[in-house]
Amino acid sequence: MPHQQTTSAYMEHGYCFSWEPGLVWLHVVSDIVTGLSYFAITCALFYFAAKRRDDQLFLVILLFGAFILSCGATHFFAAYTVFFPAYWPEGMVKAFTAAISALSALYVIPRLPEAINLPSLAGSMAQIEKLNEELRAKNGELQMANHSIEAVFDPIYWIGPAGVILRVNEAACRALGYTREELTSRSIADIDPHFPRDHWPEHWENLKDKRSLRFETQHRCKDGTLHDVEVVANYISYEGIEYNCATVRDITDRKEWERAQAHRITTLTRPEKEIGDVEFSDLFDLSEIQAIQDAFAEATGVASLIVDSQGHPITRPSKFCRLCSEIIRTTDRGLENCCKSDLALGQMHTDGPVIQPCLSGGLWDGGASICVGDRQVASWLIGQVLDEDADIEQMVAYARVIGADEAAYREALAEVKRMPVAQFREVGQALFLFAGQVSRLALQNIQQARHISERKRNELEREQLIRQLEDKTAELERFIYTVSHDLKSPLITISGFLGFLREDFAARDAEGFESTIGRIGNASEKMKQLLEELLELSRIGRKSNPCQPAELGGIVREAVEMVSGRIMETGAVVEVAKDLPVVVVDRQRLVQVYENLIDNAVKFSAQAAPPRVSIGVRPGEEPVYFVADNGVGIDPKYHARIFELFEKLDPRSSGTGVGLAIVSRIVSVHGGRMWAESDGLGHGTTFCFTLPPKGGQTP
Amino acid sequence: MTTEPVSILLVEDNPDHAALVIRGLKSNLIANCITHVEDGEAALDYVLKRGPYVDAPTPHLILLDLRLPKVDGLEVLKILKDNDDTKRIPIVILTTSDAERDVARAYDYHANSYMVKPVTFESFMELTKTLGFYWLVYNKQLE
Repeated sequence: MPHQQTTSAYMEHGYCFSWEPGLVWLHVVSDIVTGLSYFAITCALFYFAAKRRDDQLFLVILLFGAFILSCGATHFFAAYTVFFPAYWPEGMVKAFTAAISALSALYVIPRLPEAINLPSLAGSMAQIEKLNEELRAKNGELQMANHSIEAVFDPIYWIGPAGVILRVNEAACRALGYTREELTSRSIADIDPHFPRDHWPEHWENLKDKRSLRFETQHRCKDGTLHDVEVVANYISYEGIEYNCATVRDITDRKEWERAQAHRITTLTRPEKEIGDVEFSDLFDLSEIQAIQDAFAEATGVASLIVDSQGHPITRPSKFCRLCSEIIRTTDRGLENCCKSDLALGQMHTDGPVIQPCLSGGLWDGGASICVGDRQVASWLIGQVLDEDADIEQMVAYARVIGADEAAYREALAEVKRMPVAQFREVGQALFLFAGQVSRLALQNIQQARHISERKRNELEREQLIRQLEDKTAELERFIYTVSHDLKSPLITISGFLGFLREDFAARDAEGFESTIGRIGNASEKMKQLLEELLELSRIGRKSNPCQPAELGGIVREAVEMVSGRIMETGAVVEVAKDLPVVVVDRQRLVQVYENLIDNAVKFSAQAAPPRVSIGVRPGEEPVYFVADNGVGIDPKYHARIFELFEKLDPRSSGTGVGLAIVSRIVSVHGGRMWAESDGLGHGTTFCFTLPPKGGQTP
Repeated sequence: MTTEPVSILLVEDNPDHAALVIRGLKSNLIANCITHVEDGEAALDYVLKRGPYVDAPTPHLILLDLRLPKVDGLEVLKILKDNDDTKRIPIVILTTSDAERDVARAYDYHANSYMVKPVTFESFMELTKTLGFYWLVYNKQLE
């Protein structure tokens, strides 16, 4: 290292080391290595930042890079100033370093708490691992749920708001015979004939409202067959997506059973004398009988079959031997003999079983009757048993008679159950007892069916009575309400005007006297009339005369006479149709109907010139009796109200508003209907009513 | 009180009762302008200024019976209280019925008050007086 004489005012730093080479190099090399390392670290840091592209870290890395770089620069200068006394530039670099350091410190210190909370890499990894674990577990659960859904025996459908099938499970495909792809492209209307497309929106709204619905319907398979199903539909909404998750259960068996049961009950409850054509299948559940027959055959080792009274099989044969079914019965001669033998076995016997060798192959057969009362409904046949002492050769000879292959016949005969005849007779005896029990059960079933239908009828009657009672109670409440209102009304008038009378009297005001007393008189008169008419109304339901045929013409004549006073008064013309029919009615009440209607007609047509009232019948399947006028008419919107108690459209008209209520009550007690026809104000009114041809119930 | 004449609409199908109410109000010098209509339809025509009532003034108070010919009192109440132009007119039900169902329905349709016609003369006079003073003098209405 040269010892230079410098021109500057400063000395090289080396002087401080007395230019001792060891010390000089120690410093120079250390500073250069440190500086280079700092530069290298900065490069690494920038490379890291460029690769990470982390916006959050960018500023920190930039600051730190600058900080480390400037530190490196101060070290280089430290090495340089050992030989060259460039202390000003070194100072500048140090100042820059100081500034960057201070900036970094200022930046870093406030962010310390945040930095402390930053997860360490290891911590983050652990957390990610944990999340992964949870995800795996959730996925496992999901998979399990998925597998379960697929493994469920009942079909499950996921249906969108428009009725489109979104997803199905394996059972749904199996039940309907479609592939998953075929099914998920269809809508409910395609598989359920009871849910046409235009019904779906209503169903969807209903489901949305109730959240869950259970109903019975039918589903159509790919091959076109229909199955009875019970559906439980559930409305599900998840993250804004709505669907219906429906589970479906096949209830074809239950429905068939219900239908059979209903059929049995209707058949068995026909009147006693018609029970003659009751079928065995109406009396029993055939699958139960089949099970009993199979068990009996298995236990005794003899073949068994139940046939109806014509010899047609009702059940499937149990333990039939090949000899009979595959050999003898396949030949014409053999079959003919078999039928003869069965017919003989199937005869009704009440004292014991029939036991006889078969008229065809000679095996032993037996039979017992199943009866309802004194009528045989079926025969239980057993047999195809070979007597242990039978002569085989003699039996094989029958093969030649019927033209069967002898070798095959012999082979089949060897398979036949062998049994001593005495033992077979015992089996026959057991069968007889069994058949007797089945007969008794048949009778019990009939009685039970009758009992059930009677109970149902009773329930229906009771419900009807309750409904009638409710109607009556409501009517009574309405009645009391109107009566209390309308009876109170004249009372208020009377007491009110009595008060005025007192005031007028005190003031010696004679002028008001007359009209006030008149009002009081009218009100008390009205009250009397009301009470009388109410009494009349209540009598209609209570006291009644029997319905008898009566000339309608005579009834109308009598009614016209009753109101002749008002007719004269108004000069009304009353036209009565000729040839009025004979009606079956409570005569006195019907006179009352016409009296009220004619009186009304005259009253409300008094302004017409002249008032005209016509009475007649419109012929037809249900004749309509009418009373028409040319009076003020009634606005159609009041047509129903006018028949109610105390209803008056014109408050100034005379009468209490009970008349039409009485009329409509009489008509309804006769079992007829009553209504008004009018084209509106000024067009007259026609009151119409019907009467049942035979007078209906006794009024 | 307003400067224009105070008008009351009385909807009552029984002419005797109407006479009682009018005399009761008049003897207490409450109103000089009482219009009486006899059925629900006329009441609606009057308040809604239809048909013969095109120039009718808006009543300050409506006394409404419940059982009315043509349009029922409750129906009248419902229509008037549903109408933005008429819903602020006080409607007092004045009827013979004290049935709970009627009272409940009247209040459901926003009747301002429900009164049962008293059977004694003194109570009737007292009621018309109180009623008139309360609704037309003390009760603050929108001008």
